[in-house]
Amino acid sequence: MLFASFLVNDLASAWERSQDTFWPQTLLFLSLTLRALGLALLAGIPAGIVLTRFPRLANSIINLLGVLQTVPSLVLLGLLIPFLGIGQTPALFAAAVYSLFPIVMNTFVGITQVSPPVKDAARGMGMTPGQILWHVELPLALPVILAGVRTGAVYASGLIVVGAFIGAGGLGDFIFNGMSRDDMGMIWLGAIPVLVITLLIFFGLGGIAWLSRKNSALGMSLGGGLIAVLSLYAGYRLAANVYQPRTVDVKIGAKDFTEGQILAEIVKQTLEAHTDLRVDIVSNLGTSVILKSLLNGDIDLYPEYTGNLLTSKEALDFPVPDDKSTITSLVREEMRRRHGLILLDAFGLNNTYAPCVTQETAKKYGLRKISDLTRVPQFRVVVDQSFLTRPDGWSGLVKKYDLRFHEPPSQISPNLLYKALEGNKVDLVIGFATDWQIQALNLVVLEDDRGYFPNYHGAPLVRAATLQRYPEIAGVLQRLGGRIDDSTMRRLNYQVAVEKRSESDVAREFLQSQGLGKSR
Amino acid sequence: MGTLYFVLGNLYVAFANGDLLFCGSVLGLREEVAMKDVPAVEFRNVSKLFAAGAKAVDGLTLQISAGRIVALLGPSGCGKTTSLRLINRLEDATSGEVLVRGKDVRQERPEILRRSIGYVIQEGGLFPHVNVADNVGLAPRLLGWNRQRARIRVGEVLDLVGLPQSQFGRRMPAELSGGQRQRVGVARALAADPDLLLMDEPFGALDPGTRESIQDEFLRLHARLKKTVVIVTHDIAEAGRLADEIVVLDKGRLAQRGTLRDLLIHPAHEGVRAFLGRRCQELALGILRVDQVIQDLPEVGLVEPSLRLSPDCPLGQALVALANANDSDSVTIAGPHERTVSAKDLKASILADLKRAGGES
Repeated sequence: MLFASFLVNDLASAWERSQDTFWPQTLLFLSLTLRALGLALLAGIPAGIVLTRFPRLANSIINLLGVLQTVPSLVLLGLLIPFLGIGQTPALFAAAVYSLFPIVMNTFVGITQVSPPVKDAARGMGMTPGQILWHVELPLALPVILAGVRTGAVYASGLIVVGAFIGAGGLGDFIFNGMSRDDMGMIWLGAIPVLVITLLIFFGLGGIAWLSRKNSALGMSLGGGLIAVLSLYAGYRLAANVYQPRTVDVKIGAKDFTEGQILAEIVKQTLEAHTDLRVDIVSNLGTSVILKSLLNGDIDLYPEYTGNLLTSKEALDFPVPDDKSTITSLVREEMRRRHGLILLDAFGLNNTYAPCVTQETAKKYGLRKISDLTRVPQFRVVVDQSFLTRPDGWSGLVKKYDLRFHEPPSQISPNLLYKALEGNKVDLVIGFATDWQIQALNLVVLEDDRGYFPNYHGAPLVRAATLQRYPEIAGVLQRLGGRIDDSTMRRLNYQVAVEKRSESDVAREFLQSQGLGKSR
Repeated sequence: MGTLYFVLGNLYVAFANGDLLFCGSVLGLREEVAMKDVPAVEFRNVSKLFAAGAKAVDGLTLQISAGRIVALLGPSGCGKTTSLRLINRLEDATSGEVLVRGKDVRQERPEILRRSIGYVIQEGGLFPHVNVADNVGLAPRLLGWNRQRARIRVGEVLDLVGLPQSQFGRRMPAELSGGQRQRVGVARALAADPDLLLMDEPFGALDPGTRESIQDEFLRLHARLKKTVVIVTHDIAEAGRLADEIVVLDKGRLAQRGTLRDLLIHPAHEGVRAFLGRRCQELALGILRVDQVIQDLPEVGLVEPSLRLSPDCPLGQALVALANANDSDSVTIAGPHERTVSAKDLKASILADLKRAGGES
């Protein structure tokens, strides 16, 4: 009961904040799911038919598809980015690949299980192989094929949700936003319609399969018609996508955490206020995805941090220089030279890593600096997922300070870091300087006394080609330079994460307070 | 009379030799005579090897005359079904030639050939997803008949097999009894009005009562339609009841060809005898007909007969009828070729056949 009332409250508040986007996102989710399914049908049913003609090949191909099925969906999406970029296309493709397996398999099985006497009679009366396929095998296999389509639809909808992670949009956006903000209402707002739509598709197809199994003419025509319509729709949309006129001038990438989305929103609204460009945000891009997307040209710019560019393998892969004040200019120069990407003026914030302990812990062990941690090897440490593998991450830190903890650090999603600290489950958290919790929980940030971490100054990173086409961008974004310092950023993060206001509201209010908003 | 026969006979020979080609007005007649002469189906030294290397058919040479019912009989694996499927090219011969209506079957696309040949399999092989009328109407549609003509034809053939379209046309195969399905199968094979019908164990799945009644029905149908029928069966009783001629196959070879009586009384070799098994006397009693044993008996002349038997009276029944007859009594075998023989001769003849069928010579 308590849970239910929480759910209703959270959901109502999330609904209030997202009414405008809810229906478009739901429709997009539905459309993407059906299109992915249609693509899978378009490829899968002919493939299944062809396999029945090469039964020896069939086993290995079906096994191969089965193996593809076991590739985790996120990995599959990641693998597709170099070829298909980000956005709807790779998500559609991945979802189609996932739902291909049951469709090919069931088409194959459905046709091969048509009883031999029936096929024999059909041949014996002089039907051509094509006529046998169309008038005998496919109608008799239809119930089995539809069962496969049903399973495929469930796979497709699941993958389209995850597709939000690479900018496909749809209901997955709500779920990922909710997760990154620890906002249950938002998660439910995405998850419930996903569930409802998926169940509707599942039972709808089930009903049609049932009708067709009873040899009802209605079921047959519904089933066959549905397959035809879905395939045609998907094929049409795919073709339309290829020839789609450009409706957006500048695509801004947003990282998959609150701050990344707020900054993207601020950049977007600034551009909208001071240029005529049509601007759109591709949200929820993972850190590993977003730079590739920029290099590919899937997006035109996104807010990035200097330290990330300095140390990451994909960007510059440099060691941290002794004089940290040179980092920004070094990164700006090298990114332009090596990658053709322009780092505009920094916002002012330095979102560096912030090792935090509670006031209580700090007092108890006398902790002030990172080097003090050598005295507390029994500490349980929590870091966010990426920190363990980053060049400016965990292994370098323990080496630099000669830290020897008894237990390796646990990984957790960034928004849950401080929860662990609150519950006294852990002693030390490697957080971020602009996290609102540092202020809200009155945490002690340990000083980086040996200067391990570089600077992480936030700044828009733009493709040189985009700047050439729209040179006004640089001038307009210049105005954001130095306007957002650490405490401002913390406040904005707090407004979205705790006060549950939308990024666009928060960004608008901020820009107005700075006199950068839309002039009416 | 004799002269007339002689003239006609000579004319026939001349026709057959093509000597009367100048006689344009009778060319049609000549064609018909020639057609009658060509076997409906002919195997010329046909062998069929399957991938595994087994010889399903081994040097089969066989002619099947038009208008007759010929049964291919033998144990499982004797090659009878394969032989049948060679006729409509569901299988292709490894060597030798198969001719239908005098033409090598490989001269045409298999689909075209098959559309001119009716094909019936066990349970009819009906398409479970379409109703009876559509099942039957498919073959004419494949031949390109228009909807109207095909519909009329469906009504005709369904009537022919005793399943009026008004009552059965819209039923699904699953809603029919086994016997009804089998009849629909026959109707479907007849729908395109082929002159040749191939049947593979057509009545095998039916219970004995239904099987016999549908066999009788089939014989009546055949008497009207006069198609050439090749029927595969492992049931010697069925072969005896339906076929004018029985071809026994053994390990892909022709073991014997003849009437049921020939098989029962003079089995060509041990293979045939082994296949017939111990049921020979039983079969002779139940299936051999009285008109088949009287050919060699002397006519008794104009005596008041004390018994009348129908020509298709099985031997067993005839023996019962004769049980109380005196040696001096005479028996009339009714029918178009009515004959009267002495009861003593008839009884002796029947018993002699039974003895031989039992293996005594």
